[in-house]
Amino acid sequence: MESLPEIVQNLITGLATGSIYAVVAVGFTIIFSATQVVNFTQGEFVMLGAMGAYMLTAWNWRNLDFAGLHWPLALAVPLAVLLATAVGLLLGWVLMRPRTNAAGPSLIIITVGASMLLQGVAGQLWGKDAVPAQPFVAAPAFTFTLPAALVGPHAPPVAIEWQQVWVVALTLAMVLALTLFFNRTLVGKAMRAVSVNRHGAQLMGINVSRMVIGAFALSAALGALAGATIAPISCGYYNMGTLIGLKGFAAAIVGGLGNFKGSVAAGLMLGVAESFAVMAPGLAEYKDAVAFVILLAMLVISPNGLPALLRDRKAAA
Amino acid sequence: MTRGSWFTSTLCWALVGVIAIAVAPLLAQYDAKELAKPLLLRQSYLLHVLSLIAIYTILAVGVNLLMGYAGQVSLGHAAFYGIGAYTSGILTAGPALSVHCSPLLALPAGVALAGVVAFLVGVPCLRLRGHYLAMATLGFGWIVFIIMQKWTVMTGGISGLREIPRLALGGFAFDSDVKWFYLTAAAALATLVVCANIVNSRVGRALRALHGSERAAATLGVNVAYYKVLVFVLAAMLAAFAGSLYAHKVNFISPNSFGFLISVELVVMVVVGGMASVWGAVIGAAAITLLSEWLADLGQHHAVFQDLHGVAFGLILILVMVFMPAGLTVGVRDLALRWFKRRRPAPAPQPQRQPREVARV
Repeated sequence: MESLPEIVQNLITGLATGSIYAVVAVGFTIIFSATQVVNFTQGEFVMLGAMGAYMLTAWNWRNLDFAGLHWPLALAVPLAVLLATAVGLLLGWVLMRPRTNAAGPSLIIITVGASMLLQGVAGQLWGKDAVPAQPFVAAPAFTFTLPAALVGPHAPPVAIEWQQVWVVALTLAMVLALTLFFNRTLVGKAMRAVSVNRHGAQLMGINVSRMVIGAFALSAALGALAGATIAPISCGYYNMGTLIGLKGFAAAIVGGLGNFKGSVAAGLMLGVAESFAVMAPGLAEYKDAVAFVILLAMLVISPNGLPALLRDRKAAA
Repeated sequence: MTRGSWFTSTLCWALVGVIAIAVAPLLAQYDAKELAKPLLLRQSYLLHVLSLIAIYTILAVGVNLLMGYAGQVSLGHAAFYGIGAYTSGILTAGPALSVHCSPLLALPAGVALAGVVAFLVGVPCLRLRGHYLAMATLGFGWIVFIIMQKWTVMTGGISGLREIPRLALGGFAFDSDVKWFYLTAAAALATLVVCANIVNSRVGRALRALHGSERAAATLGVNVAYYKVLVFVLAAMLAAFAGSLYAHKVNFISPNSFGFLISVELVVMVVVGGMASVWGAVIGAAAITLLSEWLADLGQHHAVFQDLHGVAFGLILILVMVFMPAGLTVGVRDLALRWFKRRRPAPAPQPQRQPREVARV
């Protein structure tokens, strides 16, 4: 039996990592809605955000310190996000070229190729070692003890890193901004129209390929911002994107691929589940496998995700 | 194509294959003596690479059946390759077992296990339309990879399994590079002939039909889910067969030979060799194995070029898929055909009926 403070601590850690999975899942959802393509580069956007921000705050090219590039975070993070957005635009443009418009496995393979390429270039540019990223707030972690009535007099305190607060807050802000964007702005509504019916949207005068390229840019920006904020907690390294991307995808499937709110909820749940798995004896080693077991189980039980499953249960009852 | 013509073409290909297998070791010897390139200096190295090409051919043919014919992308195929290799390794030399069985038993055991696992993974994923399989197999590949790394008692963990015995048929032991070359090449050729026959059978036609349109194929009475699972299991069993051969050939296995990069490498082989082309798999396997070995060699001599595999594979995937979605060899062949047609003096223009565009289903 684990102690309550430990459970609370893991819950907090899980929520912070889960926020990142949620953002990545939303990125998958945006691109999948627009193109019906599972974008394997999603995790690489996260990596670009993390490594880009690191590069601009502490440029260190193979231990060859370029003086003068110690930019403040407030400048480095937006620039890193811009960099990833440019990559997203490029990828969207390549995928939307008329010749590659032939759907099917070739589009997926192109995103796999882009992912390999970005990872390879990142490995060459920034080396294979994990890089320490600068936290947004230099203050020490915020600690508190749970009420003594619950946990007894000698319970260990619970700590919240300021970076974790940043991660959760930025995720909330992104979700809020996206909700407004998709419901209130013309471009957002046009993007939704494309995802509902591509042909119909085209007939209504919406430039479909521009919307698709926009979807790529948008999810790249989201992923990069998430990456830049998580890097101080989990370290940035050149192939961090593979695992984060996969886990985000698992969340997107559990949340029902294409379901915006479902993705966010599933991402948070996945983060917490993973963090709790550490507490189970013998499971800590296999922590990374938790997401994939959940993914495969979900595909078996209900491929349309948890929301669909719950809806069906309600309808049946 | 009529029955007779494909039979003769398969026969021709098989003959070409047999001759190539017979001649290759001689060529290797010749190259080593005459050219004396650093990479080809040792004959045993060249034979090793040729055996690797043969093993990868078996893998690539399986993935091509799945990807080129059935249109399903598998990004975790190295997992089945690993299941074959590790079953062989654990049964014949595992530290956890006190009694080790013969490689001849371990090989079919690995193939059977991969088949069962593929069935269990494939049934839920392949019932779905679309591209769930790519992600599901990617996740599955990671699970297998993590198990290989962490289940140290069984798999030896990161350091892997050592001293896996070589294959022996009765009193005949496969104990030299030349013998291994003949064995792997014969296995690859047999796989190619079997797969060429499958492709031209009822199963092959059903696969191509569902690649074109699952819905149309289902309307015509093709049991879509059945055929997709069938080809997935077949590809997995071929991969396990190759993995088992690999384990018994190199005698040492570790998780890194079965990771995500290998899965991607297999996809690159199919992309280079050409979608839906059984014999193209040989070209793909040969080209990518040589490229891979060359890159590794380059990285050893120049630190700047270390670990360029990802960049190279990524570029190949993007460029080939953007410009030749049917694959490199198929694309080049089509280009060449078009070029020759243009060069030939045009015959007297005859009013031809344009084939009407068929509506997409």
